[in-house]
Amino acid sequence: MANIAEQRIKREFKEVVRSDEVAACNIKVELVNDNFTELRGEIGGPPDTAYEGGKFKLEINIPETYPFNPPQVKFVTKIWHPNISSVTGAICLDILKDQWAAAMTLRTVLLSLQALLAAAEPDDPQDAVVAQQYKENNAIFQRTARHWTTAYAGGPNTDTELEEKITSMKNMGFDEHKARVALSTKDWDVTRAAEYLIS
Amino acid sequence: MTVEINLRRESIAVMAEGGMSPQKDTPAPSKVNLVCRYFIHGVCTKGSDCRYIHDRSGSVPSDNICKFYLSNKCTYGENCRYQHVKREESRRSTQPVKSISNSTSVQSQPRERLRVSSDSRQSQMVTLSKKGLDHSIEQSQKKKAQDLKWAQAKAFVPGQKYNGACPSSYAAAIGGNDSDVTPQRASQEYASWNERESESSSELYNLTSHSVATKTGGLPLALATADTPLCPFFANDIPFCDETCKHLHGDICDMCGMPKLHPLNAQKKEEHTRECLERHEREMKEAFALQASEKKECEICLENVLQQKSRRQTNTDRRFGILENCNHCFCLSCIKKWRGNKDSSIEMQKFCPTCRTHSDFVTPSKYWVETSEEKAKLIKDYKEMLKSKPCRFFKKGKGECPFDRKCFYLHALADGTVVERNQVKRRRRTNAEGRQEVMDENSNLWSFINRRNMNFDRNEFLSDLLDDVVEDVISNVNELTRNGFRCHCWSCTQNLALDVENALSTLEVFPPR
Repeated sequence: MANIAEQRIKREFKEVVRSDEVAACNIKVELVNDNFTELRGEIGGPPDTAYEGGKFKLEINIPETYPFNPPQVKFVTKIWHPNISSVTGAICLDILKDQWAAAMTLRTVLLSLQALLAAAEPDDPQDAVVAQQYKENNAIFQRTARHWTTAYAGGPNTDTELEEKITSMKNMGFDEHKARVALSTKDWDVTRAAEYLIS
Repeated sequence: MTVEINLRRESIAVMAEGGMSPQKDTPAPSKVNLVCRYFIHGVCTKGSDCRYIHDRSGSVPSDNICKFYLSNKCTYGENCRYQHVKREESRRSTQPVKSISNSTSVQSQPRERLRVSSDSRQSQMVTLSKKGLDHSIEQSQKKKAQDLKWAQAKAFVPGQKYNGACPSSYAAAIGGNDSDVTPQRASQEYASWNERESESSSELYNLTSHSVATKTGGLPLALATADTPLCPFFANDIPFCDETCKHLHGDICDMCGMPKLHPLNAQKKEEHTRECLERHEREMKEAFALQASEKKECEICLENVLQQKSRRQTNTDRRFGILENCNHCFCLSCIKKWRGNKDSSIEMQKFCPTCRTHSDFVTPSKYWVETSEEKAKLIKDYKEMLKSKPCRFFKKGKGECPFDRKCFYLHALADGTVVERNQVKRRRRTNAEGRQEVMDENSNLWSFINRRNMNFDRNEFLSDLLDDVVEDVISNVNELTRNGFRCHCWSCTQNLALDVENALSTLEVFPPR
């Protein structure tokens, strides 16, 4: 790994990541290996959103050319968001692509992601299904997102109605996660979700 | 003085013997009772086979002391062939060596040009530095005390006379700057020195005892004129010069603390004062700039710019890269790398990585510039400097510079004439997609086709091409008819200027639309 990238990650760890401000914003970064190429991040869902109370894990890969090129970040925790793939966790965020600037740090990246959770960009979607739901049926989107937060990110709000629907799908012999994806995609219509899974 | 001359004669005799004997064909006898003069200078190649004594104890010839070491400038360090001892030490070490007699059997008496050994003090040769000899221990104690007092040194206030670092007089200087050297005492010493000096060297200078040298050592003022050059060694505090110096010694300058003021030439005096002031101003500015830059961190590598570890060993290290339109701090190597990053778009490259302000160029700087005036000056100076460097694209007229008139570098032909006008004329036009396009006016059709080939589909390309060809042909034909030509290859048309489409129909390569 290029010396400059390693030096910088070390510095970011020392000066930025471990600061009080970071702790207050529910941001965490930790090392996976010793050579500073792989990191694991965690952001808390922003308050007053569907993601409130959840802890979202991120996988961060530092390229050799960092900080001249952006770090590769994706969600490990499943999340229901127009700009984040519900399948792969890939993120559509300009600063992680062509709008990256060398003065940005891991801290700013994580804060940007937090901001992205609070303000989605449905016109520039990563997950078309989610984006469509967000635009056409926002109430269901909010409910789905909250449910996903509870199911995968340890959120506090349990939605018994949605839980029951998943249980009924499970009773039909479907896998829980697949059932959840199908129900979320089909606006929580059990029949359509079952049809979707069978076809 | 006489003693010194004697000394020299002896040592020359010793040297002659010592230097010649190794070449004689005599069978090697037991050690000659002389110190090897090659050994003394550290260049004896015979080692233990040498017939002469290899013993340096107590005899460091004064001219074997590294002169550069004495002025703290020796770059050889431990590898220096000359000895790294201060004169005090060497003098002390010569003390035990006994007596100078007039016989030639003197052993290993070093040639002491600058000082005579302690016993010779009974001679007429009196030096001011004897004081230092007698009180060497005392002095070292004082020195220690002084070292402790450094923190209480007088602070330098610009615009005020500063006496903190420089002794007020030469006597004070040799007395270790101690307060007990009163002017009276100093003047007594001068008087006694003058007396003896005039006695001993009267045959050389024919001085009267009344000529008062106001400077210690050096040419008495009475003998100097306004044109007499100052002793450069004394003026620069190089320890070649002592009280036996026969050159004019200057007055001490308040600003630099060096004896650089010519005592008789007012013009030179003024000149030096001005120079001193200018240098002082420059140094102050530099110090302020350095202070302002000291804590600046590069926003890309997050390292302190001036303390950066030299990771790339390039000349871009530890320098600032100043952006024209914003005030963010980067080190030159980082900002250069960012702007040369192939993965980001051209527009992104020109942006400041922190605030995304567009800047056309980066100005390298040793110091951080805070105010806009400073920055304007820096950029102006930088551009001025670049103007004198030949452009590597222009190649003295052989190449083409893509920056043209905007280029900062010198566009000069081989004979030195500066080309003011741009060589390449550019034409802007709006293409079919409504985008602005920049074309070189003198580009040929093939380069255009090649460019187009890269990213257009065939039909679009062909129709575009045809447009361009028609345009090209019209302009060509216009040109030709204007000049009164009739083109032979377009024989089917009577009037070329009017019916180009028709003309094209005869070409198989470019069928009409």
